[in-house]
Amino acid sequence: MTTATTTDLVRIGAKLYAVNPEVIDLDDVIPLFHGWIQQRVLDGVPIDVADYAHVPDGPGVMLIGHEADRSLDLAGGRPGVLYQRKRDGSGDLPERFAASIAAADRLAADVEADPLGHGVRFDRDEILIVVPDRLRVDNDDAALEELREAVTAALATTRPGRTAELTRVTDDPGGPLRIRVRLT
Amino acid sequence: MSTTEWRERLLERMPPELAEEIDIFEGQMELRRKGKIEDRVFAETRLRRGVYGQRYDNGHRHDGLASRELVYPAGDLTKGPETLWDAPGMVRIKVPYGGITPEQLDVIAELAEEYSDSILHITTRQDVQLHYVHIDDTPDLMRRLASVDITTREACGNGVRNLTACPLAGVCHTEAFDTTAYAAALFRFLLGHPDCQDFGRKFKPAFSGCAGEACGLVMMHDFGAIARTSIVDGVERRSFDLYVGGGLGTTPHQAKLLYEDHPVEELLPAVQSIARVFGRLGEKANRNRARIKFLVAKLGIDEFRRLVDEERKVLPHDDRWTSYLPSVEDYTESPVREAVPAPANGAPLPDGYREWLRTNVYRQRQPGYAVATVALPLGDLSSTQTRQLADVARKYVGDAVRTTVEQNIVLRWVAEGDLPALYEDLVAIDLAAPGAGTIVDVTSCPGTDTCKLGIASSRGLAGELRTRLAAKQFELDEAVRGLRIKVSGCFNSCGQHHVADIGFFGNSRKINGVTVPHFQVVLGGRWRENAGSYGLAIGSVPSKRIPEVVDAITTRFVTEREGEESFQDWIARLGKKELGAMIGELKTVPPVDEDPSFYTDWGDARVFTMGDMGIGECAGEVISSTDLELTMAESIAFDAQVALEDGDLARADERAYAAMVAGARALVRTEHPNVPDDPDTIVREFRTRFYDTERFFDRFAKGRFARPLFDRHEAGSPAEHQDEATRSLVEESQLFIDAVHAMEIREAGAQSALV
Repeated sequence: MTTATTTDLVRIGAKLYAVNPEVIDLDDVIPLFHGWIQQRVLDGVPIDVADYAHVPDGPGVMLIGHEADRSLDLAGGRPGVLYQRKRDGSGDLPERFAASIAAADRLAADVEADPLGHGVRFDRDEILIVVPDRLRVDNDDAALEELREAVTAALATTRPGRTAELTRVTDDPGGPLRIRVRLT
Repeated sequence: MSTTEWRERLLERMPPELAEEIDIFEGQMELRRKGKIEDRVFAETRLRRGVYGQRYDNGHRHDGLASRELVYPAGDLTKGPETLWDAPGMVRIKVPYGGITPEQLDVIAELAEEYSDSILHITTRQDVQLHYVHIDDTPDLMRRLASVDITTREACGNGVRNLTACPLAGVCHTEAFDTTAYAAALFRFLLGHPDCQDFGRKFKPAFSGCAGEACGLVMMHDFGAIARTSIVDGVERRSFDLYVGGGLGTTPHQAKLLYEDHPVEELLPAVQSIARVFGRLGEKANRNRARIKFLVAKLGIDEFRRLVDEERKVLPHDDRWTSYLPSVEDYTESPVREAVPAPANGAPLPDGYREWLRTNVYRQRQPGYAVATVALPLGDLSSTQTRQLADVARKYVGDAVRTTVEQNIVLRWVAEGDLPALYEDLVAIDLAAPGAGTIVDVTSCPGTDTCKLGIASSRGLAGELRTRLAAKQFELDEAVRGLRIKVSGCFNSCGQHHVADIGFFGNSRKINGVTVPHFQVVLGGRWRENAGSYGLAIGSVPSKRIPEVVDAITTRFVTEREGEESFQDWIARLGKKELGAMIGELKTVPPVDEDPSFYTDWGDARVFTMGDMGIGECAGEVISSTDLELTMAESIAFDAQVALEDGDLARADERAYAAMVAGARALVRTEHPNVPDDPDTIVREFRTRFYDTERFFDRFAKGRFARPLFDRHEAGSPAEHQDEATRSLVEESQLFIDAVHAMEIREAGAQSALV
């Protein structure tokens, strides 16, 4: 019998929230993402752009990839960039958390730098970590405690010298584990 | 925390037969990875499990400049002809008659989050689709569905697809009787039925409670049943009018009446007889002519009926034909809330409530209760919304939830007094949009977003039309508000454009040497009367001009309508020539340097290309049922090997024996399609037909490969499993299956030599 554990976690997402979401034009995010595929500037295998802007508080506009999805995400009513790893993670668990946070940082920087971002800025002092893997992680406080060490270690490499407060987001009990990270 | 895998975690919650099917499919996947299952056979195998291909899965995508290769880690490994293993695909989840529970919604929401893109897509046949799913995730996805009694089996491929029915069944004012229990019985009966495994194409059934409304759209289905009642000796008697041979696609056919006033107890055997005729005589080689509508047209309905009658006479009796009937009369849906009257006139009401009430609420025939439609933009809702909607359903209606062919979800048995509170709860989760069933509620297939066959962006156009129409919906003339718009990305009609008042399907035109996305305009289809007639194609218009087409048609309809003239009658009165002239001016395309927007499609920044189209999988692969059964036997044998490696000798022994029985059954069914599914009969028939006649005999080994089957069958499961003996049986099971294949090849060779 195979046993799945938290150390096997690969589906790790990281979201950074927009400071000025009012400037975002989702219609322009579509050509922005298509352009990245065209210019081949992304790691991994980017596949296509999916437009879910019509779904309130949904995934927004997504750049679907083989290893990971990137999106201008509208979930929770707070637009932001979300990097969601899906497979082929490498390294140990702290390294995998760090990789997703770093990828979200890069995604934010790339959108900020593009004219089609219309000057949007993303907050690096708040990170939403999303772990959609119910086989390995329940959405409860015990899971947060179990992952606290790995997330803290990941933050030590991606946000060195900062103090992090980790809390579990509890507004959707049926949803995946989500950890809010506030940095001071 | 540590957990076992989903298989172990859910073992007690899955129906055993579903659990085994999924194990077998997982084994087939492993065999395909090792190159031990032929590409085409595996493609049909996964299709029959609801695992479908998606656009770009041939490993190429046009990025707007050129077609680029998508280089995946699994390299050239394929899961079907020109379909890369790693390329994401779609999983279609069957929702028979649209009935779905809050618990099931919760699970599908979880699956959307973990394996897909956090979106549930409701289809025009009441299914739920998840997109961008990796095939490696599909066994666990299926197990989690099975744990809440959902299957993806035969959601795609050349089998019986989802069974659709009116979402108002049981609560509507015009139905003869509630068809739900009959639909459920037929769904269960046909799922995996041996007589439905050898079709040349898909077979879509539908139920309707009455002839006059749209209901189950029977007239556009391969098979359909319309409920009726009559009084016999003072007692109400239920029956069905059975229709066959309808279909849309490139050549739409209206279904033909096969049997009028057919007794309910004959429903299941009638469909079984139809399936046998279709399986035997339907086209296999040319898939463009393989739907049952072509067979009915070729034979004529009278000859088709005669063949079905003959088939019925020789059908071996099946208790399931009638065993469900005693419980049919007892079938009811119970409200979870007491009927309380609607708010009295003058009572304060939430903002927007009146409009929502007018378009989204249907008063049931049961006093004090109503059906509320949750209108979904493009049939989509997020996983979070799905969970929230499930909670809303629990609060107001319990399990009384159904998906609709207009890509919405209905909550049935809402106490009328709860409607304002329900509306406010829906507002809170952004699911209270008004306009359900009106011109705003545009239906669309996935089109170029994800479908390999898509030519133009049906979802892009539908979204644009919805946005524009929603902005002015309260100013629209009432005659226009009631119209329906449906969009397909190609001529295959998944968006059901033929039965819309205003329909569109994607195509393209070369303009000055450049390909420009277009939509063919189809007007005057009849939604009512079970999709009673199909629309008239009047010409192709550039995609970016379609909103102008809608404006022109609706404006003119309001202006020229005579009295209460229907849209269909107005279209007929104008005629094709006049209609063509109406859109003629809108056919022009400006030069690319003047307006480049015409050369891209809605919602897609890339220059339009046809280069991303692939070979569609809706037609499946024509694979013999013998090949499919042998593939299953191989998978069971593989499972036996895995069990042996794990040291689980009891399971290895049982699986090895089951694999041999499955192989023998595949062979027996080539001559005896109705062989009962018990090992005694299968082994006896195998011995009589193939062993005693020496047809199974190898030139050198003679009948030796059959001996282990006979020995194990006669001896039964050993009291104590010995490692060596079990290992030997596992090896023999694979040799037996190889010998079945060899016999097939020998006999096929002998046949071809005779030709």
